[in-house]
Amino acid sequence: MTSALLQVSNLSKSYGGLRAVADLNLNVLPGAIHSLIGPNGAGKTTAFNCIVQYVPPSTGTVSFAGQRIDGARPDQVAAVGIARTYQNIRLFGSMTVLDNVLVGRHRHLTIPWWSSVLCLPGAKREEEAAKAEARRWLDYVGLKSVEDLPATALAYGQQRRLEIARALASNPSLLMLDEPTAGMNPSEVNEMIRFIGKLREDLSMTIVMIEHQIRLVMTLSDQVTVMHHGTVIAEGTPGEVQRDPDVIAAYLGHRRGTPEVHSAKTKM
Amino acid sequence: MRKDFAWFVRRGLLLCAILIVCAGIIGTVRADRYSTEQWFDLVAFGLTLGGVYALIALGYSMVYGVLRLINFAHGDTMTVGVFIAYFVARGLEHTKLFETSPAVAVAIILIVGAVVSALVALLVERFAYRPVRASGGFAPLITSIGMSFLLQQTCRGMFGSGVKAYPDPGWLQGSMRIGTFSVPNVEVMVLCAAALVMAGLYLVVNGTRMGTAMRATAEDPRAAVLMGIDINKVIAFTFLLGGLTAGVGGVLYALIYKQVYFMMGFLPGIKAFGAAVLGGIGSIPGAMAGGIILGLAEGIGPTLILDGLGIPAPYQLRDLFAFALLITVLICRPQGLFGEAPARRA
Amino acid sequence: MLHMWEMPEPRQLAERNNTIPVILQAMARPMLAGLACGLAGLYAAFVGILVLMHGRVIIVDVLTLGQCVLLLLGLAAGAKSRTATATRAILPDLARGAVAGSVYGAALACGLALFQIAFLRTVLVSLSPELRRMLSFGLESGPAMVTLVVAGGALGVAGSLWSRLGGEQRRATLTAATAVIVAGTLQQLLQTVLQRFSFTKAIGDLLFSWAGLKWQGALLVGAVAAVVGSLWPIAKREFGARQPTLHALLSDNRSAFQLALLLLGLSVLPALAGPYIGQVLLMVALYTLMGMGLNIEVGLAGLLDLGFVAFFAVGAYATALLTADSSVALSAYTSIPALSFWLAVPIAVALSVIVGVLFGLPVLGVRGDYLAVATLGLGEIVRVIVLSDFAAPILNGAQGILQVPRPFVGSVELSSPVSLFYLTLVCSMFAAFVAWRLQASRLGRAWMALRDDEEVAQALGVNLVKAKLLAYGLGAAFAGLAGAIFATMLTSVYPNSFNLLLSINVLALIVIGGIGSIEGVIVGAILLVGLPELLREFGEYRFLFYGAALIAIMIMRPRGLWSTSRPSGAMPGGLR
Repeated sequence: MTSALLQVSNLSKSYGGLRAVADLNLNVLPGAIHSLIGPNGAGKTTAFNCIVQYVPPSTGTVSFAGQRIDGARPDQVAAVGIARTYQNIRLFGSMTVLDNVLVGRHRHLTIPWWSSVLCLPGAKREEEAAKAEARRWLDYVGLKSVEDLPATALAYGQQRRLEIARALASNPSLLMLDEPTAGMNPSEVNEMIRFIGKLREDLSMTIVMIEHQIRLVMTLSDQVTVMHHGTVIAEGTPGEVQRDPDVIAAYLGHRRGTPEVHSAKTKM
Repeated sequence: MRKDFAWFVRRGLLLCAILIVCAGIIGTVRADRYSTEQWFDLVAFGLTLGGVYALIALGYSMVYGVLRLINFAHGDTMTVGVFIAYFVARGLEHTKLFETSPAVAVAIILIVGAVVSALVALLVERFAYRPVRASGGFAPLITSIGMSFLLQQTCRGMFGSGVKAYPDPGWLQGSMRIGTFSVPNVEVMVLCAAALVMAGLYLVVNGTRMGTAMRATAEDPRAAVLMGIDINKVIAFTFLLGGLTAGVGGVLYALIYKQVYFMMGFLPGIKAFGAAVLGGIGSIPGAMAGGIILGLAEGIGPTLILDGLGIPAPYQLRDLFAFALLITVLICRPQGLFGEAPARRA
Repeated sequence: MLHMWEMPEPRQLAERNNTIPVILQAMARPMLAGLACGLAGLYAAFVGILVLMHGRVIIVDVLTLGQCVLLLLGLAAGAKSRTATATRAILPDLARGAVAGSVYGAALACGLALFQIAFLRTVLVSLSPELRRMLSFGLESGPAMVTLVVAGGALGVAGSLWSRLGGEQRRATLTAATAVIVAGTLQQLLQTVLQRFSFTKAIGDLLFSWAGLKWQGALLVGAVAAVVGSLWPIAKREFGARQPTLHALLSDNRSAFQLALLLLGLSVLPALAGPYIGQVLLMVALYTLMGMGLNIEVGLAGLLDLGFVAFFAVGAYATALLTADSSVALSAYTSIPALSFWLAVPIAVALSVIVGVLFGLPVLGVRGDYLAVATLGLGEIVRVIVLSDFAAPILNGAQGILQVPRPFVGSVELSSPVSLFYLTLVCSMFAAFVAWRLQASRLGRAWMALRDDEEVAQALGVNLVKAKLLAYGLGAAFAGLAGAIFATMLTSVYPNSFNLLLSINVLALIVIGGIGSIEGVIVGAILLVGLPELLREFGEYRFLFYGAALIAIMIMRPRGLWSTSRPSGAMPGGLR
């Protein structure tokens, strides 16, 4: 337990009288892929936003590698090594593909602005190194050939991968993916499954993701947390969760533990 | 609210503002240089100005609600109406109408101003704003800045750059007694007219099909289109209403200060925008309340606060109040005094 | 029974039964074209600009700029009367052109008729006797109106014939016409340049008399322009085929090449053209400097700042207070000695930066359109305070500060506009260099990221406070520098020089040049500052021109005239 990379304790978020997330506890071990699933409106995205301090949580704590990050600014969260993607892709539309990834390198660049103005050799070296690193990530996601295009000129699947490359370029210790397969067709989903698998193998990246594609969740996750109406209703390995009667009820709308629903039939 | 740097800056500013205001008020109260009648005059004048600001603010607020556009040219749309109404007034001067039935004369001037402003607003929407509506970014805002200059300079080119004295019926220069106080007739007339127009607008927006469509579009334009609302018509209607109210407001403003010139729309325009933000932009009752508050602040503020601080010639700094109020609201409470906090986009 | 699709449309039925609506329908477009051009002409007339243009002679005793505009509008009506799908038959085209032109002429005739109403003449200051004389060719009203309609019709026919020409011929005629108009309009500038050297003086004497182009000169200019215009694309193609490497080099580094050319032109011109042009170019360079500053804020960081003039004012007042030889300067009543310009500039710039940061602090959380209004308010507050009696003990209120000395280099006083121009040029080139270096740096990317999506940029580690304050600070630094030069240029500072119009002026020039583009700032400054300085008599119509240009650019070319292919020149995302 103590070795958890990301530890969320008793996190709650209310909007007025509405409790979007109630008492969420989450322990993400280093190197694990942890999925957050649940029906629409379960509070997954709110929980996600509270973890990265995009929205400040009402109560509860978030620790990352033993360091409290709740109440921190978003750029401080990025500085400790958390990078994220968005459900509705959010790229810097007026910048090129390469520049998008270079913004991801932002926190690793240390040369002050005036030395870039003065063309000091250090600034040039760092800029070249950053470009090389950014190109490496573009190559990794297969976008090397389009680096000079504006980001908005890419196809949908490419934009997803660019967003991931931008997050990876900041060398995060934790990658948070908000529905990486949203709006994708089956073959693109397969590609994404392979890609996330590769991420784990190559980089032993710790990943927290929100996902609806049950196939992706089941093949890749080490741990699954199921949310419903803002609370956690089940947690465990994919297999355990799949058999949980509460989960089945939540997804199919039956009363608790209705016997006739067989887990094998449900696609969740 | 996250307690970051910007938060502390906001709090610090607010605190400073409150301290200054309090110090000023205490100073003035202790000095006790003004009589009750003088204070009453200031309040009445503030209310009158507030009524006019409210009328102009309505247009900003409605247009912002529907288009999310700060219509910089709103004040200048009004100027055009005021100019044409001025010429009509000059024409009426020669007839006996000004003496025999001043109310009718004023009504005619107001209606002319309103109709002309509304026409200009419609033209501006159709030929300048509609083509850039889809461009996004700063394009609509910059177009409206350009339109503001175009209208101002057109007025200057056509009608000259001098300040013209507004003719008005002699009746408006008198005053009437309310209890122990005397109120200039022009202020009574302005308040009545403003109240009437606002009541009428409230009925239109809440009681007609087009008004409902307008509110629906303000709520969610895409959903409104899916419900079969012709969004172009709604936007044009919004500009029409905004032009009508601004035209009335502009003529009233001209009658208060008894003058008209080509830049006259700019300052009340910006101030009225402040009023709209103050009350919560997009909200019609908010715009009315914001206008009244701003007018009162401008009317009483210099005497109440600056005089107490020992600042010489406080009336020179009158515009400061409108701008300071506008900026404070934009910084500390952009949703306005009565608005709900906007939900953060996920 | 007929099927659905065999049912004649009601409109078709109507057309079969009645030929008059058919004609009306066919003539709807020409009439609209004529009406639009007519309204444009009437607008120009009533706003007073047509008469002013009438005062500018293009070809001596033949044509004035005002007449040129009226002619062109008539031709445009004719050219626009053809629909894209119209048949190639000539007669319908001519008829359309004639209708469009006559409608145009009729609109002008209506304008002429308005002169009969005495009341209107007291109302519209622009209904002057000169305008009447211009529109009526000195004739009585009746015949003049008939002439207008007939002449309009003829112009329309000519316009429609012109639009039937091939692309090449149209381009050649257009270039020729543009060249003649430009040569005629800018004749003072061209003549002063040509008169300075003996070999160019001969050309000048050949083309121009002192009042304008000679008709022989106009023919010559038109012919040369037409030839060059039609040969240019061919020459370009040939060049690309013969010298592929050089051509590729030029087109790859096109913007750098053009920028170099532009700067070269700017730096050589005043030495050639003398003090008058030097004065004009000084203003251009000054506005370029300010534009560079505002471009960092608006173009790179996406912070639409309408209170920019405040930084300019701080620079100017600081310089004046520190250097002036007058009783209100700091040296008069404190122990601070009167500084030289060079010592005062760093202090003025530093003060501007401080004000820029203080200005940015409160509005850190204000976004997009709201920021525009908030900064406008801040700028106005500064102006109101400067003008008031409250600040008068220090800033001397509306009287301003006089006797600001000029800068010295050694013992040479930089008093001529040309020498000040070179000083300003160096400063604005430095500003351009800084902006160019920052664009492709960590800070520049952070700004652009904030401009596109504030929240995502922050989540990637961009420190919002630091980045925004740096943008305000750097923008203010250049504005402050410009202010310092402005103070020493005028040798005085008045509060009325620092109003909102100046902010709008700078904003307009970067928008028209192309937001976020460095070359665009220069192009914008030349067009919006240089041109009005050259055409002095239109000075009061400057802001009319700005307003119209802003709207036109936003509708037709939202990325500005000098739109780069680089996506960084794109419009920043505003309030979502």
